[in-house]
Amino acid sequence: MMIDSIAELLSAKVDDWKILERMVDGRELFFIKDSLDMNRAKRTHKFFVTIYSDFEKEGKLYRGSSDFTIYPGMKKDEIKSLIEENIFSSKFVENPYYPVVNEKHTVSKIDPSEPDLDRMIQDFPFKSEGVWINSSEFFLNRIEERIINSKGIDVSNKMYRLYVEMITTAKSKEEVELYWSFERSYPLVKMEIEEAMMATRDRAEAIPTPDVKDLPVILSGESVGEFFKYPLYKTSGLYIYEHLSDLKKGDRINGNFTMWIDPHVEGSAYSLNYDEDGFLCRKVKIIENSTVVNIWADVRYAYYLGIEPTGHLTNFVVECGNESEKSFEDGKYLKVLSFSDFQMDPVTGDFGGEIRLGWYGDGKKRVAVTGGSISGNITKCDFVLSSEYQLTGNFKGPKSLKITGAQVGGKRSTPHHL
Amino acid sequence: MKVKLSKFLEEKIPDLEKIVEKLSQKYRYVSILGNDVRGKRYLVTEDIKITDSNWNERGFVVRVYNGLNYSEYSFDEIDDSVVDFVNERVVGELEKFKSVLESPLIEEEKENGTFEGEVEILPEEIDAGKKIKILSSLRDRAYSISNSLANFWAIYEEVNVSKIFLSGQKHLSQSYVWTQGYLQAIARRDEKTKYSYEGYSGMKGAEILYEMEKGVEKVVREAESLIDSTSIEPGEYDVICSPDVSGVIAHEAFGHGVEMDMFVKGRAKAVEYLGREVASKLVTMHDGASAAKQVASYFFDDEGVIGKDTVVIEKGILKSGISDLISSLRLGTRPTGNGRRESFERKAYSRMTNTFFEPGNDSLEEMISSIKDGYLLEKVSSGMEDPKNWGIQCWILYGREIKDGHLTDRIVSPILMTGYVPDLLKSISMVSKDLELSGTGACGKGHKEFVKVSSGGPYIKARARLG
Repeated sequence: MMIDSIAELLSAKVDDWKILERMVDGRELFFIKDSLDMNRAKRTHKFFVTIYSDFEKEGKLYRGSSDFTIYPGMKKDEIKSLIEENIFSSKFVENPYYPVVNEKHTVSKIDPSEPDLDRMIQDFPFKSEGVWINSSEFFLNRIEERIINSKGIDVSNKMYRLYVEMITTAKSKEEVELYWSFERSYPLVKMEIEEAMMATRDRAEAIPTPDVKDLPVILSGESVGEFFKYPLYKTSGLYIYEHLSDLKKGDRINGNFTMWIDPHVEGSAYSLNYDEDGFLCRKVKIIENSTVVNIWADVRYAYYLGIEPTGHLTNFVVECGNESEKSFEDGKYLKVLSFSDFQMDPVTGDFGGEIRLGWYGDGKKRVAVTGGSISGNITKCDFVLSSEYQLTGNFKGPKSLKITGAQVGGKRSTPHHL
Repeated sequence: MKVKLSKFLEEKIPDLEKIVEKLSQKYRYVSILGNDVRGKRYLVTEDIKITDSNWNERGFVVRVYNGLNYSEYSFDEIDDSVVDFVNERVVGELEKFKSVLESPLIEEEKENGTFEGEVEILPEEIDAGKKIKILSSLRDRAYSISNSLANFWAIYEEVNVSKIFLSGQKHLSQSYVWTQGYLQAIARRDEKTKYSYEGYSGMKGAEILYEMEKGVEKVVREAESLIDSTSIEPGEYDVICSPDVSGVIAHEAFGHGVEMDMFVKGRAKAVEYLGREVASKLVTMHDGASAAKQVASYFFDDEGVIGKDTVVIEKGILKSGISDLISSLRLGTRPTGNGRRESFERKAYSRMTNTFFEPGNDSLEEMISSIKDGYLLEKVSSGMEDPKNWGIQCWILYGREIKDGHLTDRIVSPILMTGYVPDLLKSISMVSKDLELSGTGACGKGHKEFVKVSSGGPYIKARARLG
């Protein structure tokens, strides 16, 4: 096996090394409306190698490293020369010493079942009353990983990653569209697509977002996970070591929420047993009632900070709140379901995005709005979590978030619909 | 120094030609793109990292005309199974689908060609030790300038690109190097953290490392001054956009908006506006691999079409879109050399390359003195488009206040610029003589399919909604 030959070459040259072997078998289907526009397949096989060089300088122990990739079809001479080149480079990397993973744990392998892509497409509702799927793309990858290192670690992961992107279009005075993406390990269900279509119908009737002040903003859908990237990254060992965060255990963050790192979220395409170092990932509570209770870190940064490692990031989970989404709509509010690109800056806490579809409501009636933006800084906002949950990418948590203290930038006219 | 084609690709040509020949017995069009992209990224901050560049790849993609449209197979191991796999698993699965959208057959003309880029210093001429030493000296200098710094990043990335394209009629090869550098200063006072950055990029070699020195003090001082920045009051303002902000407006507004695969899908509003006024008369905009010498310059695209310079908007009139090969066949237009893939593992789409506004006749000073109440917008963080409904969003790092024709000391940060594309472009009232392109970023289609692009332009004065 090629991995064994690489390991042999590495063992002869360096003290410590690791290899992540990844094989991907993928199917890709591209549709315009309900017709197949292109089909693709892929098979790739790579070896991601890290070599470590230890050296002393002025009495201090350093560990240099260098990462490189070995591709199938590389000749032995080319591999040898790559190894030499990276050993040479690693000697200039003066990082404090840290160990590689050397604890062996045996856990039952996750053997996920393959999502039935053909069935999903057969049942896909490409059109409905006044709204249709303009185009869609389906990517299904079977990923198999094996991680070995110089300390005898030999572990593996297997996962299916389904990624669906679709554009829904509706027509009123003019055609409008909304963008949707889903990433997970199980197929989409009809109801999710119908909800997307319904939202698109609303966008077709939307008016410009009004210029409103001191109004609670309700985030719904994907932007909720993005919002929580601030506490997620601020509690990472990497951010703390790099001085991008000065949070420590016992510090408080705004709002009232509890967050976990969880490698085994059902349905997530990011769930796995072992991280890229071969470390057995753990479920750990990071924030409890908005107070930092743990720092999450891979083996290297955990060693630097003198804490227990949790492994590289897989999934993050925020526990849901007690209030229903519906109750967030008592009184005046602006609820946003779709942004052009909602972003949270995990260093500064600044967040915002342009509104593609939202609803402006007064507790009794609501009107769909589009355009304008919301912005703010998480350290100056308060927020409440809904009791309904969602799974988007590697985030599991509340479906909605009601924020006070965000700014809305809209058009200077009040909608006469309300 | 000339950049030579990858030896690996050269050696694989006979095997690939055999695959093309075998598949051509069954399919009326067959092509293979072979990519070997090798690069390294050096990061010096609190610690040091040497990793492969994220742009690295080595593999092949074969495209065949299956009788109705096109099927593709991406692979990185050449063996006897490739032909069978294409026949059985790729083209073979077409019968599962009730409806298949037909595409015209690609009719090629004979074309052979080779391109070797040239740089001052090939990346391999400077060893890793020296690269780390230069970056470390930039970091150390930054810390000597300010004691407000929480962190400082100095990043250098070198990418050596080799590609071959083989089909019945074409035999093309290209090899070139691009590099980029990045400085980021993170300043903190009390509880407030702010950062600034400077980027360097080009069809250059390791010489870019020596350009980065001049940015250290600027980026540190900017990060320090941003700690005292305030939030902007949302509203519409007269603004001057710096060349990088102009570039992102060009990219988001009428770059994504004229990607012609969107025309095919009926997703681009621009199709109704071809030949019509979409911007101020002061606006002329280009896109093309040969329109500028920056990180998105190449000889041929990922479908074997030679790169071009496309005038998208000329004096405010929308003239042309940018197209991949299959979209151009469906639309009956000429391909513009904009068929690009994230890597050999991905599909080709209509994608931008080097996108920019042409310079005008005004000076920055004249532009500032013409504004009573507005902002000079500097440094762009990201952008997003809405090609169907012409919304635009740009995150801008900061704005310097202009009052009564003068810059004040007040800085607002960050800024979210949003608006309706024609409103924004028609409001352009002054254009400076400068022209700068930057290629430190990457462009996605939707939220994936990242390709290297550059964008830029002159300073422009416009009216924009800021929040």
